[in-house]
Amino acid sequence: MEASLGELGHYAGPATLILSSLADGPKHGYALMQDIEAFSGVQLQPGTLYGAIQRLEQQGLIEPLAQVGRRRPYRMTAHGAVVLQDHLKAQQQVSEVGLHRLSIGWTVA
Amino acid sequence: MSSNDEGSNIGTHFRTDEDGTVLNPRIMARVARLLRWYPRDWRERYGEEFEAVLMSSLSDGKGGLRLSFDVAREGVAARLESAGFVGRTAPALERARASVMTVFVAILGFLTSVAVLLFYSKGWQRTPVLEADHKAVGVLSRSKAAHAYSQMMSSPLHRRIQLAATRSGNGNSPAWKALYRFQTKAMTDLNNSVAGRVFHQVMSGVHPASGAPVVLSDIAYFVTGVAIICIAFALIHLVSTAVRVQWRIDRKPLLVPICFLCASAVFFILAAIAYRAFQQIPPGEPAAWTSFRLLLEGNFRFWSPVVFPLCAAVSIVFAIIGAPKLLRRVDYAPRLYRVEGFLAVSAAACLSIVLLSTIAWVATLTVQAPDFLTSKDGGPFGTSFLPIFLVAIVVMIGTSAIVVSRSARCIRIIRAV
Repeated sequence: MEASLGELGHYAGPATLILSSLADGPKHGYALMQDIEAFSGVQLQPGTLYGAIQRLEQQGLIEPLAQVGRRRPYRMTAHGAVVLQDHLKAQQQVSEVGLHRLSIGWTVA
Repeated sequence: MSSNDEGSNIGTHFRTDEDGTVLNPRIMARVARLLRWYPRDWRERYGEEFEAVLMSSLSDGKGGLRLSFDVAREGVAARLESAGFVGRTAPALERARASVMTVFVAILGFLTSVAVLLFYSKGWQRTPVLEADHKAVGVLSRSKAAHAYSQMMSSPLHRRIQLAATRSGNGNSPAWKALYRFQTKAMTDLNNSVAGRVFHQVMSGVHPASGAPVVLSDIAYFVTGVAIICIAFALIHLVSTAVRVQWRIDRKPLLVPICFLCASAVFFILAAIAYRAFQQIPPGEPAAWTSFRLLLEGNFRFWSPVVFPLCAAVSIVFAIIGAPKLLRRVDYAPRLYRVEGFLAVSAAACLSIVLLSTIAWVATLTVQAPDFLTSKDGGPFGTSFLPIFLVAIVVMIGTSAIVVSRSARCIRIIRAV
């Protein structure tokens, strides 16, 4: 199945953050929120988090693990890793072009 | 939630979960309230873990208005998706059913706007002519020619001829002929003056308004009759089907939605009768609010301006409640959805024609009788007509767009089944 994070519409941003967080191992919902806040400064709200989790699960980019108490950890699938890598490379290319052009024409304080 | 899952009790009111998060009864109540935003199937899948996330967020003091708004927004989105109104996750027939329901409600919204336009534009047929006549007479009466005419008509000479004509008692007498010649000359002078010529040009250039209300008032009784016959057939079919399946399908009772639809049909017929009576009241008679006061005082002469909109509104509300309930409870074959989809496309075409002719009619009124739209005489509570017209037309445009997009969606989904 060919999938891209762009297909998730306004969930693409949260989906990138969730997949990036799951790249270093499975996490449950609240741990995801804390990790995302720690590495990106973005405070994902629970509704948005679970909206994105539902879509990522439907696309087969993440999968649920066995429930631990009332919490259910999720892990990234191999397909999810490929999609995340493609997405981040595309973003990296945009970042590099933007930074390069800024360095030529602008003096940023 | 079992006591094992919730962890040990702290005192009488506070408990902890397995992470040691303190569970405050107020927080638990708020979490339960927030979870209600989501549909049942979503809660069954994600409810428990989502509850744990909410508990942790609220216990960490991150539960402001932003969290409530976020959960409400996502919960509504999940409900709409689960019911097939948006997205592609719901089963195809569920999505087709949601599209048909949306089309039905949008058509009712469109018809409500048309009813509002008809109600508030009562007497509009004569308005452009009356308004042009009123203005032209005003201009003419302020002209020099009209002043000269009135001086001639009030001159001593005219009075003397008039007196002589009256005294003569003979219509062929020289005095009568002189009076006739005098008055004809005064009128000819007035008609040949610049103001008189302008007056005649204005009056001959006035065209009656046209557009949706003309079409609608011409076909109103025919359409009402056809609608009543169709509703009667549909209800007879519905009731006979419901009796055959003992008033329930898959344990889902059919009595309530059918009762709503029957009540809607009854109020529709009452509204049609009241509309006929309402049309017979000449323009300028008491408006809805005054009629309501008269009704309260026991004067039933002007009952229709109150009863028509009231019955129409109740009929529409009952139809909006009953029809989606019935659609949700009955599983129709894909073929029927295909027919409904094509009917919806035809309805969309008809609505577009009515919408365009209404816009043309309002444009005509704006040019020919601008004071009619901005008049403070006819609107409710002494307000202008214009906001009512604009709101009604905006609703008509919006509902037409919904009918077009949703009927296309219905056909697309059914073709893919």
